[in-house]
Amino acid sequence: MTKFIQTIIIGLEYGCVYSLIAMGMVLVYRTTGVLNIAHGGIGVLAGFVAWDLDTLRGWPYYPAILVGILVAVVAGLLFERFVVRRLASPALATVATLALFLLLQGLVFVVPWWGNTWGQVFNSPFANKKVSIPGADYSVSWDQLILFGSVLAFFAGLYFVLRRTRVGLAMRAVSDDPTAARLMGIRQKLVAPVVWGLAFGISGVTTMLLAPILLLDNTSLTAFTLKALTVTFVGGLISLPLTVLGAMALSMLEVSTQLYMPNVRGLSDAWPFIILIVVLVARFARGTKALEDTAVAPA
Amino acid sequence: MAPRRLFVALTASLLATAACGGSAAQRAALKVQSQNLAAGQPSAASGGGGGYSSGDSGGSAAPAESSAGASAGAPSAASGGSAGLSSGGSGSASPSAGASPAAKSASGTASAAGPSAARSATPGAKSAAAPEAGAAAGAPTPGAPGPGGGSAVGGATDVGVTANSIKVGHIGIYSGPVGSFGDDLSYAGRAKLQEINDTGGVNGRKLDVLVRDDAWDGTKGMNAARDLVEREHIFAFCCIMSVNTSDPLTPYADEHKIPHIGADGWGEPQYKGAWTFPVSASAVTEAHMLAKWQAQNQQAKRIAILYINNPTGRAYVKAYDEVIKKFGGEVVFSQPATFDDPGTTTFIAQARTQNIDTISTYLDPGIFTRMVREAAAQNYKPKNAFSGAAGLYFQVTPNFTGPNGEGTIAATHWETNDQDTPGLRAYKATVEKYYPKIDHSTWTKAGFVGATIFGNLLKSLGLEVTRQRLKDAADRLTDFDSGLGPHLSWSPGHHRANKTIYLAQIQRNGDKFEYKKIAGPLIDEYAESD
Repeated sequence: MTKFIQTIIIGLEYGCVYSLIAMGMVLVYRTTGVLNIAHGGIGVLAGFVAWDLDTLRGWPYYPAILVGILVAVVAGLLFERFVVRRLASPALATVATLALFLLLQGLVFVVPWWGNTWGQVFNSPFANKKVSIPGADYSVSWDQLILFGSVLAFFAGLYFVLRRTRVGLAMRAVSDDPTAARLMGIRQKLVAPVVWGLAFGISGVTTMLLAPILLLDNTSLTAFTLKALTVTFVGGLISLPLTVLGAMALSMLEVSTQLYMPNVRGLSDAWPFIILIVVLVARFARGTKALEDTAVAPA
Repeated sequence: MAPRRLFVALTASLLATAACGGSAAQRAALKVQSQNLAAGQPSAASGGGGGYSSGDSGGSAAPAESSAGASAGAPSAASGGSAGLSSGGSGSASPSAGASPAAKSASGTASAAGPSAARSATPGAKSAAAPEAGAAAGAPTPGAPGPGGGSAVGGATDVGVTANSIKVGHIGIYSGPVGSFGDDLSYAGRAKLQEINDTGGVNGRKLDVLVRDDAWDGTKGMNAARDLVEREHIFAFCCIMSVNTSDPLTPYADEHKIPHIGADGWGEPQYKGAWTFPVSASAVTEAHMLAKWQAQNQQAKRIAILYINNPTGRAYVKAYDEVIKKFGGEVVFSQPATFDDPGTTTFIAQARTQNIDTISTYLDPGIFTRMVREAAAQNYKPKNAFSGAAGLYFQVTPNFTGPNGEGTIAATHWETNDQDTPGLRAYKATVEKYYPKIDHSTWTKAGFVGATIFGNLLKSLGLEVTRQRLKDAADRLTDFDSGLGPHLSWSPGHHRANKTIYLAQIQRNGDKFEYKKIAGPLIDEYAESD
């Protein structure tokens, strides 16, 4: 029973990690049709800016992470203004996010005092605070609890914004049919910066939540981003509930494999690929020609 | 229009990425190249400073020989985006004190004086063209003296050797998952090679060190190795401290009869090669000695191992299990670890429920730190705390693991940093002269020792420098005092020179934590005799 409870807790913990990253990607895809691969790279940039201010320059924690998130938001606005807006199609913009990702990942090595060790310890005001889980022989840190709460808040917030607010409706309208949206008076040039600024800001927030749990480096977040990309396909790149469900399923499978079948080498690493294949086959079996057929349909 | 703009934007982005984020070596190469251009130095192809004359590299066989500099800027496909850095060809090195990693790599890369400027004006340079022309024709005989070989004045005695220079290949870890500290592993060996050049070279020849990046990836490393051997025509490899490259390089070195002096020795395959001469101990030896010491001194009985899932990691698990069983203990479970899964969390949870008394690891410092912090979050620390292979022995590790890391025992193959011996002082003096901020680890010392032996062996050959003679001299190395603890000997078929382990433990010192020596030298009596 102890092991089972541990499986649930650890599965939830890493499911939250995958969910948080994946939701940011879904937001951009659902509203612009662009697959934002730069998510991890933006997080690295925001995280290192915050770490620099907090750890190296002695800034208080909250202003430091706020500046880090603002840097991410500004990066999103600039990227939309000078790159995305000039590109003809979402596919080209997707490729541009890949280039941005590579650029930002390498940025860590450019600033000499950022890359002089394998990773950096990211401070947290909740360090060393933990909660013991009864019956599980297991403790959860406050940072992990905050991560869990954040996922719930993001999920509810994004769902509400996209479904219930004028901004959200405008985002979806521009994505569904730009011409019709323009005829209805929606200004695309105002909506797109909001989407990109919000998406990059979410990347920044994600890093601030994850870095105290993991370490701040330029590889861990990126690696998690690739797994998150897998689970976004579970939701067809548009459904937030299915994406979160996929993230939880992936992490539960990984954790249960590691805890119950430790001698089955490689299976844990194989789950993202297995899930991806199953999802794609299922979609084709259902008669869906391709993901993009439903990519920008409202939830 | 938009696709065109996209192409321009992407190209610019990728070029910027290559320039900034690729590797320290790339940046160094770009910097040196731009300095050369700014100084109006002739290009490599002109023999002005690039380490190449047409005679050096086979001329027509390698038409892109301006690439001694050019490849530095543009990631070559062969090297997986790594930089080509022709140190000898790049002009002088002015090691910058207090350099950042980027600055560090920018310095110390070049021979003190570009040999090729003088080369083209010397008779030796002319004779150098002869064997390399043969190479271009596909007829070099590795190990055999060239037409100029054996003469009283030296000359082109073998592939990669001219009257004034010896072309040496070095592959380091300058990018990738462990790139941020992997570069230090290279710098120590390169510092020694630089010192050799600064003190007159080897019997009048400068070492022209060509550096490549493998990103701790054996595939990239082997691409770089092939490039160095088959396009650059190096004479030998020196002091590669990347197990993922050194292991697959071993059969390749045998096939092409190219000496690799001062390999890292962490992986067992390196001891099977006739042309590979490791200086450090293997992960198997580390596991043997850690298991024995922990069984005898900590009464370790129930062990769990977290390891990087590569051949060396799996060998570590097997070796630890074999020895601990001799003392009545057992490896209860082991688990592979990656950067991006819940592995460290589930590992700690399992260790807790299975009443483990010792956690041993074969990890890089990053995953190890995550594991220790995860254990702290779960309020857990096994009775004997943690231990691990030399991948933990970095000066910065204790700062990152924090209080929960106290008691961690790391294996290392040389005298520990907290000791004050003449050998350690000499080592630090040389290395820190060129790289003041280097993090002294097991492999910085191994690189230094490997480069020292390499220089000594070359000097012992006199002017007749050939691959075969270098190998033969290495096979006769007897009781070489590294100054850092182990005395090293090689003989044909027996290249396991270092079976010595020292153990260092993370201990509290005031507000800080640091490694302190607790045991050693321990000699591995379980090691194979090869």
